[in-house]
Amino acid sequence: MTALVREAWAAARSQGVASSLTCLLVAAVVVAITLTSGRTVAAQQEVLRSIDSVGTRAIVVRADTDSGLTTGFLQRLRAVDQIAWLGGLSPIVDGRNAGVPDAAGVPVRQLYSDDLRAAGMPAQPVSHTAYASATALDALGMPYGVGELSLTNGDTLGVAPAVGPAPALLEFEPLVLVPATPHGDEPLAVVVVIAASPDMVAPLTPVVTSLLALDDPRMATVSTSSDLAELRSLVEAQMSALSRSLIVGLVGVAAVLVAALQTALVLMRRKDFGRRRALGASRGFIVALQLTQTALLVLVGAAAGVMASGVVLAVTGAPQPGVRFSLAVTIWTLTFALIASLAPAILASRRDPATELRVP
Amino acid sequence: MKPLTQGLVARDLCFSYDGRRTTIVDWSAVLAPGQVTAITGASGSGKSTLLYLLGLMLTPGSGSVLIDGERVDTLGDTQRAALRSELFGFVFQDAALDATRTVADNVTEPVLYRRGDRKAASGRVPALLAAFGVDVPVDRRPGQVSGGQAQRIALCRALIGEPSIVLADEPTGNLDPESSAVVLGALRQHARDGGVVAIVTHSDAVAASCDQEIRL
Ligand SMILES: Nc1ncnc2c1ncn2[C@@H]1O[C@H](COP(=O)(O)OP(=O)(O)O)[C@@H](O)[C@H]1O
Ligand SMILES: [Mg+2]
Repeated sequence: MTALVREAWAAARSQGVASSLTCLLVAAVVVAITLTSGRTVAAQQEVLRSIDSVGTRAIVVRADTDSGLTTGFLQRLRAVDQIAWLGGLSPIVDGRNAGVPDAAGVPVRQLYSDDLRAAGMPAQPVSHTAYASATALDALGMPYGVGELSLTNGDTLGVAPAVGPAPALLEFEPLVLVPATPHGDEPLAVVVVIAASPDMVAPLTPVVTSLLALDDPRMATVSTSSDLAELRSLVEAQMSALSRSLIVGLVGVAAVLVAALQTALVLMRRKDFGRRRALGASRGFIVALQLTQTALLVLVGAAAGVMASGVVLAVTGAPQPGVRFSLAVTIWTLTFALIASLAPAILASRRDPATELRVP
Repeated sequence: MKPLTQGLVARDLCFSYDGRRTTIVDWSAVLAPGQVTAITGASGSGKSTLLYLLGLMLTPGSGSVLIDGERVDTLGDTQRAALRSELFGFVFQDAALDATRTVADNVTEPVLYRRGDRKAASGRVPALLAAFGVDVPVDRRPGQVSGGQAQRIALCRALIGEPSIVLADEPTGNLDPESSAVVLGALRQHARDGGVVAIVTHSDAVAASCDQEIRL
């Protein structure tokens, strides 16, 4: 076994140009796949991760303007177990960059929550300050996160950047939140309940609904992450189908090129295969030798490709698709290349010594 | 070496490449252990073809090849390949070295196919080369040696596994008289050690020095 691998390696090294070409081809394909599909996969993983981080644990209550839902609902929910995070959003007030006349408006909301840090704010927020997400700062024209906000109700607030995205609240972007202390009678438009675990969503939902205590229950809707779970599987299915066909296409092309190269090499070196057979190599040995050689070259090429695309992604600041993706691409390339190399390997194994070694 | 008891026997061999012209007709011979047999004949008379038949690389149209009384020409391809690696040492009409590999790799190639210890065999290469008067570094490529040296390297390759049977196709064809003598001496010694040796040759002198001559 090791003798076979050693011989395959020595044979590959002895035909440097062809071997380098094979490695280069495989490396190029791995880079191409990683920079296209790999990026898609990395983006997909990021989307899925953000959905997973809270989405599949979220119960969102949306109430009409005059539904009568107040912060008293939050106080009732506090008594409920298995809730990881709880936040209420007031109805929207429009806000504008005070320093820019005719600036576009952004929705400003009060946030009532015991855990402000989970919403990207300091635990002890500065009073009269609105915390804006990056998207909101962009919309406000405050790239440095400093400025003043004038509200349509006449108030003026300072602006500070919110730290990182608050995944639970992502769907309400652009987010400008003013932390506020509930007294039990402030009106609420939205309540977000994050369950302690995804499987707690189902038992929690009727509890949340029953605690609403509205005169007209039709004035509020309770949505759970089962919709998001559907979205998740949709995203996953679509993106993986897309990248899979792309990967199969690229790997297929590479395999065909590798096979063409190998066939040319076998025909060029037919006398060498005739000699191997004459000296006692079985057909099986020659096939194994050729396939091992292909495998070694593909592995070297794939490793080079993985490293090269890793560097490119790191330099451009794009997300890395991860070890599992690289491994999967390598295995795909290896499998395809081995299948494609089978024909030239058999061709090599059938060189006839008496014909190939004949001296006219 | 594992010497044979009865040697290599051919009985009524017939062979044709194309099914019309017969190259070998009813050829019989006994190649006994301890003997050097010269195979002579005009160019194109079928000497190389005969060596391929005896070396189990071609299958006779009729007749049989026996090693120590056992019929081997009817064996399957894999078994014949295994016998080639285990029992035979070949010197082809041209050296047939792998131009891309070192001299050491070329000499030890048969060890690979008989699953021997190639590294240990590599250690014996310099001494073997020296015994045949080939004064080249073992990491040299065949492109950088002379034709006569290449033929002697090919002979080293044939002998490295101490095969029971050596079939040599014009092993002295490219050599000066001095080197020829070294090569013939080695083949004769191999026979004396119990090997079956057959040499295809054009030289009457070489043929005369052998134990038997078979003319085609
Ligand atoms: N592979 C082959 N296919 C067809 N004819 C061949 C082949 N090899 C040899 N021959 C023919 O068989 C005859 C014997 O060839 P060969 O055994 O090489 O003779 P020698 O070695 O005695 O010079 C020649 O006529 C040659 O043309
Ligand atoms: Mg000949």
